[in-house]
Amino acid sequence: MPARMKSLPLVCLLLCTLFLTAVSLADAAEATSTPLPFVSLEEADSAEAVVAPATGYILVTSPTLSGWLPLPESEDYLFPLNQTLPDGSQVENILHVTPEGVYMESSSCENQDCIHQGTVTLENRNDRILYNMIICLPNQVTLQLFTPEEVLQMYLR
Amino acid sequence: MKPAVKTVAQFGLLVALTLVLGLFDRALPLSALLSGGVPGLKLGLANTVLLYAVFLWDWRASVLLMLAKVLLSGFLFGSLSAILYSLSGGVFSLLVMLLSRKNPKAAALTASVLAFLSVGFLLWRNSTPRGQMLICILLIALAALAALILFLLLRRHPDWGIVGVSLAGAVAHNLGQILMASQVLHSPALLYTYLPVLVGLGAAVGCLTGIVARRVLRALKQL
Repeated sequence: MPARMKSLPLVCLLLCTLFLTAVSLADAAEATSTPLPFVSLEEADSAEAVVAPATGYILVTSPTLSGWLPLPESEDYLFPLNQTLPDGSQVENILHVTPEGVYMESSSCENQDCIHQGTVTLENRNDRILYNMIICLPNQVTLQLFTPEEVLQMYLR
Repeated sequence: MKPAVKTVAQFGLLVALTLVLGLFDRALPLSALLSGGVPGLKLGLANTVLLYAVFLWDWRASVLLMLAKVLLSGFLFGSLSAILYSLSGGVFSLLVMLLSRKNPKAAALTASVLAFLSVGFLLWRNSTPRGQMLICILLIALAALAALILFLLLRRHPDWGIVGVSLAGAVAHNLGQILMASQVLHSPALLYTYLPVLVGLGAAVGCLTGIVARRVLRALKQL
């Protein structure tokens, strides 16, 4: 009996770990299974094509992929951006899009300036030194947050 | 014609200096210090060595020093895109400094007006309509004051011209870099979000390094 009691905490720990792993795996599966609302610049030939109505739109530019991401209504989503740069290096940026705005969740760059630039929202962009932009120079990625009116203006011109 | 031994020695000295200062620039966490993290922000001490070259030698030696600096520091510490940015910045700033050496007054005036315009644009973009009016009036007054001070200073003390050349070079360097960056990143928006920040900061730093350069150059000429 005492021997069995001794191993009880260990068993509890093991069960907890298993449970946490299962939960995180389920989370990951959910995140990858939802279709990402990305519209590339080639597809977006009019303001209506930019995507479903949203409170704001993010213009993503990079050497390999450029296009629009809408702000979600309620649920955050991640947008992984993997590229091979013109000089042959493999780089990765993960954007975290919230209902209010966007921030760089992680980046493979050396200086991590893009992460220090924090979140851009439609409220705070006037107080930011880089206005509506997040720039990752080493990985050649820029993000810009626009209101629907600004997107419409862009396509009217 | 063979270059003088003194020029060769000075050239070696300045190449070494620019590499060491480049390392120092990279080590200084300037972009993290400023809230919001301006990417790629550096003090630009390595570029001030170009300023000495412009005042010590003719344009051929200066171009050679610029290429040596860009290629050596690029391959030693940087990436391919870093070389592109610094090459473009180097070409722009060297061109402007060589041109403005003869007429530092005009160069200083143009560069400081550009700097005031950029800072004004930043403030104007981020404020209410009433604030915008105030900022416009304030900036015109400040720009006029700065121009007056520059004009009087340069007339009394012609050796302060190097500060004007430094200022113009710093602004041109930022312009060149951002033009290249907007090409590389496929983002013309950099020109109106990122360039004003860099020109404003660059002009301030350019003035400071110019003041330092005036002293350093006096010492270098005595070598």
